[in-house]
Amino acid sequence: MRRTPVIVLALLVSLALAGEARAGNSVLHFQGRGWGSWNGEIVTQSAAWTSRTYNFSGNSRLDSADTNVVVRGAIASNCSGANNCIIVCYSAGCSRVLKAIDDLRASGNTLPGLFWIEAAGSVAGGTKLAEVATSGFTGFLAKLFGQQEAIDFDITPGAARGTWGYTQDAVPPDAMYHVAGNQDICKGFLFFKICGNQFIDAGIGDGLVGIDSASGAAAAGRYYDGCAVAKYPGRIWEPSTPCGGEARDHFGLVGRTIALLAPQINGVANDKMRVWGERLNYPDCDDAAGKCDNPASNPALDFSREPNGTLVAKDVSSATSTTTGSTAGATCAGKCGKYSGAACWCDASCATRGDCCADYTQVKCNVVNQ
Amino acid sequence: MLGLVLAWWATRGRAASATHATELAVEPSQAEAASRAPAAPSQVVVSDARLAQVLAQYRHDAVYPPGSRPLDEGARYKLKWNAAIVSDLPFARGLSYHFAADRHHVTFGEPIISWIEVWQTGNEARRVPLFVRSAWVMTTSGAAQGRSVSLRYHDDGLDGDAVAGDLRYSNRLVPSEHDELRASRQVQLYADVEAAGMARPMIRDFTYAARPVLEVVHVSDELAAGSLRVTVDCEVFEPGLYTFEANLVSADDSLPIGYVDQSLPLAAGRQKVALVFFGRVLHDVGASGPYLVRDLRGFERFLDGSQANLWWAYAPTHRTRAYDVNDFSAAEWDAPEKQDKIRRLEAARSAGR
Repeated sequence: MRRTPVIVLALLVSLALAGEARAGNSVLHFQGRGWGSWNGEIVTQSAAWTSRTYNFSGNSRLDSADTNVVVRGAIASNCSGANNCIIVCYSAGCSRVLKAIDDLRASGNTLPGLFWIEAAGSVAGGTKLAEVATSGFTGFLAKLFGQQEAIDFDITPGAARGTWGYTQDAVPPDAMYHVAGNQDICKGFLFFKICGNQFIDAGIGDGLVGIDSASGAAAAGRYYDGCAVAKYPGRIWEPSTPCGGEARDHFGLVGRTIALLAPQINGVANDKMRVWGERLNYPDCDDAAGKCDNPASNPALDFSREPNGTLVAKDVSSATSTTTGSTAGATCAGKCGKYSGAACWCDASCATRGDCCADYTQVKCNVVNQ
Repeated sequence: MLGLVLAWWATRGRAASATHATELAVEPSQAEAASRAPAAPSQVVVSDARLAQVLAQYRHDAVYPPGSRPLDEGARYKLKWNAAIVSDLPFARGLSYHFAADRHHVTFGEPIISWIEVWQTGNEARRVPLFVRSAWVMTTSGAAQGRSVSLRYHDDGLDGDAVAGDLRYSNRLVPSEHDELRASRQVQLYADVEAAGMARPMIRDFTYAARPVLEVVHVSDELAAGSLRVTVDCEVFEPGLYTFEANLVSADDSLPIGYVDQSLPLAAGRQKVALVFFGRVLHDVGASGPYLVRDLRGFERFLDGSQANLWWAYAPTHRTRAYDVNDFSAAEWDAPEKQDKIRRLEAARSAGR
């Protein structure tokens, strides 16, 4: 475990020097959970700013190479030296940005070229959806969004504000402008529906993230006014957005945020007005009766696609556990790293203990648990 | 040595070299990236309204340096830096639960006491009996993930359970006593709980220090260039990049004043670390000393993700000398990085006009 000071020094120097790549003005985009790339909604026709997007897995753990190499490297390279940048982060991408900035500043890179950060539906404060589970032991987040992802471990309120709490003050004296949505996401599950906001329980939610997180609020809770809430240092409510949030769900918030950014950099937005939630006349699923573990009406439920199946971003399903089938009983679908609730396990130690559920590998827990 | 290298870097011109390796790790997607050729920084164009706002905000926030700022309303969470973030969640129809703990970060040798309770929604005092079918420390990162330490939750008034028979079921865990937690990993407490005929999985996030990394020996304070300098004399057990945080409050603990958050590489052995509470922070609050330096804590940071950060904390509160608030400078923070940022923003604003 012991390393020499030389290794630490070399790492710090490499981070501090990382801004020497070239002179340029860039808008950096960092995607969130469920996407392996940005979704195409960027500012166009801005003569002075180059939009840069990055291929990394939004599914991976926060303390992974996706954050520590790709995101951190992109910020170091484009926001220091002679370069200027604006960062657009989305959902769990904002958790990665905060960690990357905190690590860079701790390493001596002051990021002189960082103009500001635009945060769309930031889940850096966590969401209860990642903590609460169905009676079948599947996370509601995994069930509603069709996939369990490794990043889900990092976006509970406890992990986001506790384990990663030290990153929450990474921004000042620069500023992170927050944009939140207020439209729920509901999906059908064989004659019933699951909606996100009732479990998010934050006053206002966008179907995945509550306004307590999306506004940068310094404490979890129920809020109805993103403007007035006490925020973590350096966090600001985007002035051109209503205090009650934008009329978008989590999926549509990217386009709206791009639309807010475009005039600021003399560009044109390509907001595609996307919506992921569906209007359903079904009743809410009765979890006590096990109905929230029913199969999804749309078996292609995947956040990297529009509801009609059109791909919007590189999908990460090869490394996630699909929850669109029944998740009741002795299955590991959506329960990787956990107990199935029915006499078999889905954690990485189950193989040596001899108590894995039969579908442990089939539902990719061997991948999610890495 | 690091200082020399950084000083050398700072003296270099701003002209960019096109050969830095960091960019190799970053691959813009071809369809969208580099849709326009990069412009020179002097040609930055941002709307005047936004730039005016960003510049004004920066000037306002950069009155204080990044690592020493007021404990204003948005920063007061730091006064409860180690409180577990607990969510009240639905258990079943008419029932709610939480899985709470007395702390989030468990330093080496410390215990964590956690408890589970289920109650009738709307009245937290009306708890219901429950049965913890199994509970574990779950390792969620690195090698050997999954169940690591089996836990027992009990309501007998013993070993961390405050009151017998109150239907609050508790466990006391000392991570450093378990061989399974010798490596520094990310973890959760996990419980499979049955109540009122229903079962639920519950989780409680926490961190633990797998080994001691730093021990504070002595804390002292002095006035230095119009700021309050707190010197932390410490024994560092392994070399690494360390982050130090602390809060400054009034002597009666009623008035939050400021916080520090500083990182630096340390070699193993006895070290003295200077934490500077910026003078303007104290000046703006307007209260004379003595002050209390509390919540001195920090962690060894692993930038490569090879290990989870290792937290340490210093429980005693340090009482400073009785400084007069007028001893502290009212001057704004100034530094080359601040001037550089302002220059860039002003240049962008000029270019947009």
